[in-house]
Amino acid sequence: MSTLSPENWSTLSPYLDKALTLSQEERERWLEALRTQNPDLAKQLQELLNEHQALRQEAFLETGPLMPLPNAGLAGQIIGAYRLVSRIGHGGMGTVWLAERSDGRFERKAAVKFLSAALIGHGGEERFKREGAILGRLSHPNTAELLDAGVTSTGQPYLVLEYIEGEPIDQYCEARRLDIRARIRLFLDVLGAVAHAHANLIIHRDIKPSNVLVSKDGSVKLLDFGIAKLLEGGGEQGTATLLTHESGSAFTPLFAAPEQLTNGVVTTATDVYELSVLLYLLMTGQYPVGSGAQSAADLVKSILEIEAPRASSVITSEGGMIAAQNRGSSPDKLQRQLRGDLDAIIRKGLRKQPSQRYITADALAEDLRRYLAGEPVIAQPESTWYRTKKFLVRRRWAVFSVASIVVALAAGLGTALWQAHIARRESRVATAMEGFLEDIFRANSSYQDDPVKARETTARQLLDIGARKIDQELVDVPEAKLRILDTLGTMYSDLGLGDEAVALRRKRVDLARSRYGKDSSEVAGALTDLGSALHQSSSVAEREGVLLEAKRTLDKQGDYNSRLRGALCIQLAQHYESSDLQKAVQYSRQGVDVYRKLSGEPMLAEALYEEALLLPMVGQSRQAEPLLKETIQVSAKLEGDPNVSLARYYAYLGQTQQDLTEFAAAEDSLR
Amino acid sequence: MRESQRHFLSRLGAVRLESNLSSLIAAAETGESTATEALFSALYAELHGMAKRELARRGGPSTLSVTTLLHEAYLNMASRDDAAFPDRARFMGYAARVMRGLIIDHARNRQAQKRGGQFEITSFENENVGHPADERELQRISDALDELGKVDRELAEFVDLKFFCGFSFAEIAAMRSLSERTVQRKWEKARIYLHRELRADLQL
Repeated sequence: MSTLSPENWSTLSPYLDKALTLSQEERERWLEALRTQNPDLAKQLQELLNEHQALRQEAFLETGPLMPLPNAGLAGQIIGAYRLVSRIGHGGMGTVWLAERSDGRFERKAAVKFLSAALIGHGGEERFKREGAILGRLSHPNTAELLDAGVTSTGQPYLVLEYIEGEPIDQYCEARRLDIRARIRLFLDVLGAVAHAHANLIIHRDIKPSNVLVSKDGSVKLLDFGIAKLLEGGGEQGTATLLTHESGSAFTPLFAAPEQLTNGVVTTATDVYELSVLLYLLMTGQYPVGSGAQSAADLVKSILEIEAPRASSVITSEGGMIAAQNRGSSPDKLQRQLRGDLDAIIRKGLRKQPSQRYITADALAEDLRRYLAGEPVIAQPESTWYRTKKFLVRRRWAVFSVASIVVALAAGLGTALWQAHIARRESRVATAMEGFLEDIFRANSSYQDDPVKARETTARQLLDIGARKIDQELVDVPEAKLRILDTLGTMYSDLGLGDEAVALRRKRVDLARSRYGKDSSEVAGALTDLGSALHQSSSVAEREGVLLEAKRTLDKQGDYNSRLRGALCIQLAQHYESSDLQKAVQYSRQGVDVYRKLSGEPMLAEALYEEALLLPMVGQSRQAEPLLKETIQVSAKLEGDPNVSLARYYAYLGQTQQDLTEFAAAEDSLR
Repeated sequence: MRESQRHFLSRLGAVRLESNLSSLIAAAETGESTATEALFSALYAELHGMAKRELARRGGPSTLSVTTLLHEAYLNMASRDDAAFPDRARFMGYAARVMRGLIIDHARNRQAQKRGGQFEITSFENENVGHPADERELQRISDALDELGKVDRELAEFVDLKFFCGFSFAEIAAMRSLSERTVQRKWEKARIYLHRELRADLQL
């Protein structure tokens, strides 16, 4: 047998093409026919095809010149408290084994993931263990628990994870034909798990259906939290990790955010992007980059440059039939459901610029909940201003977490962006605030030398970073600086850190003076806020002077009826409560009057409440009762029933009625 | 490996990448042999450099997926202003052939130095891979591939991508805008050719 000459090969080549497309039977017949026409050619072909059979048997060239990983045949071995049972899979990161507890103390199945030692590198073992320990503390009902992380005696790093039986969320939804609302409710569980991690400054980085499993009872479990980060050497990120994870299958980073492809900074907004891709898939059955086979380069280009088509637009009357059926709907109806709010929410989540997305999973969840409740969503620009205000007010009574600070800052930013929308000159302010917000993140996540420290950052530390930076930053954009100072000041107050709040409030007054002049309403507003902060600080003695200065400024402006005047009156009423009750009552009445004229003002409830608190102290308990009833009525109407304030109002109404020894009425209210 | 090929592979960094890869590719495709050499040493330098950086970043002897390396090389180069490629498929074709050279060099180094070599190219996703890289065997395959490249360049490129770089049929199909079945058929054809070539070699 000889090698093939080039001429020989070019003759045979097209016949080989043909032969290789035929089934065994067809091939026999085809060769038979060929034999009668060109016996010589048929003979050569037959030889080559026989050779093909042989080479397939010996698996010729089937395995590349690559090194094997030394972890086959591990069954029965003990890893930590677990005994390996069988291999259940392998992927880009290494192999996965099913394991059970070896001490037999309780029955628990686990998945043990072996990672290539090279992935963590030399000297990375300590960091790997420490990071593993942090992830292990991440406990949430919708997150698969990380039970253990360590390195075997042979130097192989491993993770022990809660073993989850379930199917990928997209398959689960399709198989059960869940409608849009049911899908969103399921998705909210996913968001809950991610939000919990974000509050602990852990970013998932690899959210995709195969990492979001739904068990038979319908409960969602998120897998592989923070593992992408765990695998990175020294805090670097980007394509290497991404490609590593995707390799093994085709190169399809369908869920990757733009910043992951460009080695950008990975933040909570990166997860928001990946979550939004998942939401898009659940809603439409398609990927934002389209479903057709694409080359990796095209995919990269669409992720970086091309805005995804609106979710509603990919449901066409012809092609959308199956998607609609699987959502208990018709193409027309499904399209209507997606159009508007859901389109806007998904679009906001898929913004190329991380700062234009929802900043955390929590913010995305809030908007989806609003959608389900039929309320206006933040993603729709028209409602931003109103919603942001309400949100910040509501937050005063909320428990503060890192996530809520981030959301509050982002909401402040949203306000600026909305204002930029109506006034072009404001866009500089918005950009400046955006930059500042990003800087706080950066100071605190990926660029933090010690990832362990970064994860343990508390809400307080995050605020301190902001407060420290604000002095040097935004010097040429005072409007943005004023807003940031306001947000940071409010949050310090909410954390009960009065002195820190006062320091920021003072800076804001100074800045407002130099920007708008000392008799401006901006200065009066800043002074009122300072007065409010002083109340909880060690410099409380300065409060009266500051509030009266605010009052003089408003008087000069001839402003007696604004929202600001109302807020100042309440501050003054609170201040005089301990020194001059008559003045206090007088101011609270003024406040009530101001707010009554501004119809639909929720602060009216607070003003009425303030007056009702003061009246019994001046012997007018009886007049307090109708005021409290009105307080409750106003609050329920403007803030909804129930709302966080109502509980306080009802409690005080009950107490007042009891004081009046109106037992029957008191019992009714306290019941 | 041909003597000339070895020669240019040894000229690391002789041509700086800034000298515009796209024009090198264009010249190489018209059959200009000095351009081909320049192109290959530019790519060799780039890929070798990337592998070394990867090694430094991870702080120890590293395993590195070839597929990953090539994808990264492409992303890296495609993001530069000066290197506008005719297309990704051709880039991968050239780069995969360079990669073959790197792998064989590496196998040779390792055999010579008993693990004292520079970096290791291994695959952690293909853990069922059997053969440790045998330098002489690889060299024979490489020579046969060079012969095949003369008759049918596309087939030879597929072998580089599949066998040496570990790309899947689906990936190669996506790169070339071909169906997976077509790629698989061509791969079978290439195997037949190479098998014949190598067996004949043995019988000599």
